[in-house]
Amino acid sequence: MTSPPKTDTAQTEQRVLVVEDDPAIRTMMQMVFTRHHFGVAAVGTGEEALVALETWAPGVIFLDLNLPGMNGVTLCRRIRSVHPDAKVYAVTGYANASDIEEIAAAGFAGHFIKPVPLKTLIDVAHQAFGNTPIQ
Amino acid sequence: MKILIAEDDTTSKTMLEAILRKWGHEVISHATGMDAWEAMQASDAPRLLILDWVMPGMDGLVLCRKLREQTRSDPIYIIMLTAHGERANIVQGLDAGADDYITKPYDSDELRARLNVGLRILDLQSELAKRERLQGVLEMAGGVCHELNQPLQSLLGYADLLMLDMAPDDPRKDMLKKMQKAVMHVGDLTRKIMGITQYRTKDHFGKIRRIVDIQTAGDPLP
Repeated sequence: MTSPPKTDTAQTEQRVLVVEDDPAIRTMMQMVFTRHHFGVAAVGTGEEALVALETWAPGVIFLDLNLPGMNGVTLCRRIRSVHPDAKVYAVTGYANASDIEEIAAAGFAGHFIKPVPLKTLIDVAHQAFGNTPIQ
Repeated sequence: MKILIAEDDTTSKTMLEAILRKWGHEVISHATGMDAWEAMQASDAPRLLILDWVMPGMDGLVLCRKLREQTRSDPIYIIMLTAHGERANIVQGLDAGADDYITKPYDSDELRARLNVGLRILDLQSELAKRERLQGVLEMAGGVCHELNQPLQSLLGYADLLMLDMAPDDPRKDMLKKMQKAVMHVGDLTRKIMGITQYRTKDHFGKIRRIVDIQTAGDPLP
């Protein structure tokens, strides 16, 4: 787990939380969003995500659905009950038709099937924060 | 439909063969239980059987039991056709594994109707087996796709990170973009595999064997 950053700009920065159990993807996502000037926290489980969310409120959350312990769909419902304004996106390695229905019902703002180009996720984050599109 | 008859009485056998052929069935007949048993060991053995009870050597009841004890890749449907018409005989025949029981002398309309019941049940069983196979393929495909998509995501993302540190005219950027294109190509394939909803095969190595056609097996059902 990477602890949520504690900086003086915490009130103004645009925060992204990544919940991903694959360490290589988790590190990569954190590096990419940091390079694009977002405040990023990256954790490996739903339980860690809920702990982080007690003290750190992100505007955008990317969830892997197939997590150890609490799955991404349950986690999304829990997050939506405490942070209804956060935009939560599913990023999953596998989804069949019934999974996609469940994703929609759980309150995700959108879903992506891996492999997804990082630019797509960066653009989604910028849009969620209402930033001017970057070419 | 290919139908196996086991009947030792030549007159009854000839009559039954003629009726079944008239209805368009292919008929394979045997005069003893043992001959019928041996015929049923072939890989393309009939799936619908009409067995007489009384035959020299292995009788229809024993044959029925032995067939039911066998594990078969395709289910079979057995009709006992016999002069033993007592209720106790019928129970005994069904308990031995027969699916239906017709007493002699039989009415040809009744025989046709009962044969059609057998054909319907065999069709249903085939459909069920097909769905079970498809379910197995889908479950395997889901697991494989998930395992493939995770490393693909890493490859795609780390290539992006490498490019962020390169000058706009760095020639290695082009190589990384080609790698990403290859990753997305594999990603498109896993998406197609995840969308498989039906068996659709195509020739592989000429006609030596057939493989699942990933490109079209996720198309809407006709």
